[in-house]
Amino acid sequence: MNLVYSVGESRSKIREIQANIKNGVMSELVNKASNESIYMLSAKMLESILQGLSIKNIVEYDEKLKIYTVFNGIVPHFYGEGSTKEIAESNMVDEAIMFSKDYLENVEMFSGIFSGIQQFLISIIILNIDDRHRIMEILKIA
Amino acid sequence: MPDTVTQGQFRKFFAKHHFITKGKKKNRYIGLINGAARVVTFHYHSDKKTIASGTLSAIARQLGMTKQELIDMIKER
Repeated sequence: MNLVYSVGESRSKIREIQANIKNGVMSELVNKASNESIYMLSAKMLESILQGLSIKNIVEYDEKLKIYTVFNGIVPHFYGEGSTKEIAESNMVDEAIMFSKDYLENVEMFSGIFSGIQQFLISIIILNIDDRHRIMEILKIA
Repeated sequence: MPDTVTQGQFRKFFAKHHFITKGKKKNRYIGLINGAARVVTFHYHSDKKTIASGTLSAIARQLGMTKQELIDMIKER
């Protein structure tokens, strides 16, 4: 049976979902045609998941070329080069921003290629795309 | 002496595997490696330029392999 809601009922349902999320209850929206679920969670839950995520950056130095490369362990597409570790890290942040924008533009093609944890990290970057300082915090760059 | 790979060698490797470019700056490449779809970020400058060792590691991870496996594939060993 298909459930059909009026505009008023839809607003009421959304308010109910928002209230549940605010109170720490995750909501599930099921697409009955595809049987896929979408989950909605609070900012507090999101922040906790992010805190629990083991985000590490790998630093490698090429002695011959005298170039540092820093790349993210979860999404290695976030990488930067530089003559110092700090420059390479800064370039990695630029790359993370550019890559996340490209991801959003090509999301239907890219999304199936990346794992859930990679999608999560890219999404967090997209949500903070205009806040470079926050992105540096997320990527564990001091 | 460690294995080195030039950007030209890498560009040919991408062409061989039919990778196509995506993204505003055309520095995202999408294609199939070992039956799996992959997206790779590669900043091409010139054929003669050597790719830094760490950058090769990052690209290898994007392709789901180790750096040595990637070097062996590029050099057809």
